[in-house]
Amino acid sequence: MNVYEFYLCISIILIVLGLYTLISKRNLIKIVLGLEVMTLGVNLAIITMGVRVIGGTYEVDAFAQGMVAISMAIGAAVAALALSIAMNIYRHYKTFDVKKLRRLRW
Amino acid sequence: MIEHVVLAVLMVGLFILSTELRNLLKAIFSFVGGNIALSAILYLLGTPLLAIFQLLIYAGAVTILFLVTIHVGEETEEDDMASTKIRILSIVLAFSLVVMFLMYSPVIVEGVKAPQLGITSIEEHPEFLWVNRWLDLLIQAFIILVVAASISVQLGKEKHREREEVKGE
Repeated sequence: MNVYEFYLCISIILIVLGLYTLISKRNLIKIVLGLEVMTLGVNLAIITMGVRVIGGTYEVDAFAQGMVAISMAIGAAVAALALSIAMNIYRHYKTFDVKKLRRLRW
Repeated sequence: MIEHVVLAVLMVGLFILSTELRNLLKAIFSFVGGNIALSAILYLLGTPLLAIFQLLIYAGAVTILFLVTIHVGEETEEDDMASTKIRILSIVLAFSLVVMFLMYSPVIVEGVKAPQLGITSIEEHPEFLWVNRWLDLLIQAFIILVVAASISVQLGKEKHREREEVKGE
């Protein structure tokens, strides 16, 4: 198994782990954590697709690096927004449990 | 290659802990550990700038946001887990996704291996950052917009609460 296959597998595991957390957890903070883990998996996949092995050393394409830098900044902004929404929900409902947010249910 | 394997296993283990630990504080510290391992992987892959970004943004800023949220919420333990049905369904879904991706991975990897020309290193070409500086400006504008929107929403809620209190009196 070379470095591409190895890190693509790892990134897929991270994406699936994040997806599993999004589906199965009820705590809002855990859900945001899962979202961040998914973002990290995607970032690792982009970096892996830009890796070149030249004379035994690794080099990553500049475009992939730029894309991941942008993705990191956007991921941080999304986390900030999601956590601020979680704080507002806690103020209203006094819980982070999404099952107890009954007012949004139909 | 052995250091890559050790770091990757450590990272995946810490991320699994961060999603499965019931104590939220421990879960967040596991998340920090996973981010540090990912930063080391990025450094080994030859992207020191991204490794620093990873440490600063995820192991630093985002972690502080999580800690502040827990502190405000005063809820350090996760409540009851989701029902067994949902957990089993999500495990099945995750497993099937892993199998599907692994079945198609040779196709993806062949696509990755193909281009070997036009290698540009971000350290060798600092003009890349200068030419594409609009991306940086765009990100900064987006972050400022999000922060401004959050602050205005918070202030609006405070005003609404004050009005309600005045009406109540």
